[in-house]
Amino acid sequence: MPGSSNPSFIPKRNTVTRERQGSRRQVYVGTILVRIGFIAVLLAVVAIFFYKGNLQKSLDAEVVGLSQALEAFNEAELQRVQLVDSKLKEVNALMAYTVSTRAILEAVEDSTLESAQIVSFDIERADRETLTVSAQIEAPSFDAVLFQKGIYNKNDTLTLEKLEEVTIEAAAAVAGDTGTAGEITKLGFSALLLVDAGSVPHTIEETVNSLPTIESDLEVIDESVVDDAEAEDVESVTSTNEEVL
Amino acid sequence: MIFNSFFTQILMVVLAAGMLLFYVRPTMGEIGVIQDSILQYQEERAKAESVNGQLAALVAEVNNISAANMKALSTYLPDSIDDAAVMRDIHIIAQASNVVLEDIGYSLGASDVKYTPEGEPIVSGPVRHDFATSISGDYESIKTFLTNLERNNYPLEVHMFTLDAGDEEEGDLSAELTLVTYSLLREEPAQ
Repeated sequence: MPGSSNPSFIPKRNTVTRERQGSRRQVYVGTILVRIGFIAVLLAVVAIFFYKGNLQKSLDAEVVGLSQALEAFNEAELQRVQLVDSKLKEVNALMAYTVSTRAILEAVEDSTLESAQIVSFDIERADRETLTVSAQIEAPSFDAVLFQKGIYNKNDTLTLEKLEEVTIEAAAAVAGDTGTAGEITKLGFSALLLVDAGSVPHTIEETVNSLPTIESDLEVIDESVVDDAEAEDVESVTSTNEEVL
Repeated sequence: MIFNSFFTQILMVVLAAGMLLFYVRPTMGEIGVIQDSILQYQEERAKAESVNGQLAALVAEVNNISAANMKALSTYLPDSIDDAAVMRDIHIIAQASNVVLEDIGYSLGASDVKYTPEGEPIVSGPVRHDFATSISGDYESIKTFLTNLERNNYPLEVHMFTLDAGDEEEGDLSAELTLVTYSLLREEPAQ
């Protein structure tokens, strides 16, 4: 129609204006960052909350586990093991330093001259490893004394520490008899001998005491006390206990 | 929209900062403490379980020792000794060896004493018991007596031995001995 492009009374929407209105919606980077940051913090809070709860449960489980492990420890059993262990250690030490007095006696006996006579004999054990033997010996002459000294020096078990207190008994001079006057009749001396304790160990013979009455009363030692099996038990338990305790 | 308002964004920043400062940061500290505690508990638990395991192994080892050997061990080194019983045993050994037991006496021997760095005395080693014994008999009988002492099922160590020619006409010798035996524990003196 001429003069009027739009005869309708309803106003038409201006398309240009609409486009302008649509282009006003702006996206701000700061807003997005704030939102992302806020959501991230929220997620972190939730995650930390649950993680802490989980850790707390793990800690409680460990506390319970430790308490159970401590409760499972048996003090009485430990004391029993320690008692047996200390007994085994002490017995090992005692058995390591056993000395046969009879063997010492026989060693002295074997290394003493036929012509010499032992008057008295002393053994003293100052400690577990040291043994001193002193013997009062009577010999017929100085030659015998020197020979006796040489025998002691060659002995593996006994070592002559010193020879002392030499006393001489001589025949009295008798008138008219010049041959025997002053001749030595007896020579006494004291020999101090050292014994290597390791060379005279305590030995258990295969045959036990022949008297049955003693066995019943004394419970004479049997081989089981010193058998190899027990020795192994002793060593193994002792070594293990030393590592643990 | 309200979420797009400047005020809302400021509020979100403040809230986020508040949560970080007042919850996340202290909670992270607590988490660190809890983690350390867990590690510590785990280590202690492992140690306790290891000790329990080793104790169980040792108990099993002790239990594996035969009853006869345990009895022999307890006889060789008892917890305590009855001095009269030991005297009786020495008397029986003397009889069996054909020597005469002239005299016997008991005394508690000196034990090894060590000292702590503070100077406190500690008795170490087994408790020593001394038996001063006098016997008489011929030379072979005395040697048999010494052998029988060695055969006893608990130690009767000869710590002092003096042999003298006694009544030579009868061929008898006299001997003084200090016999030593041990117990594990010191007996409290009777009140």
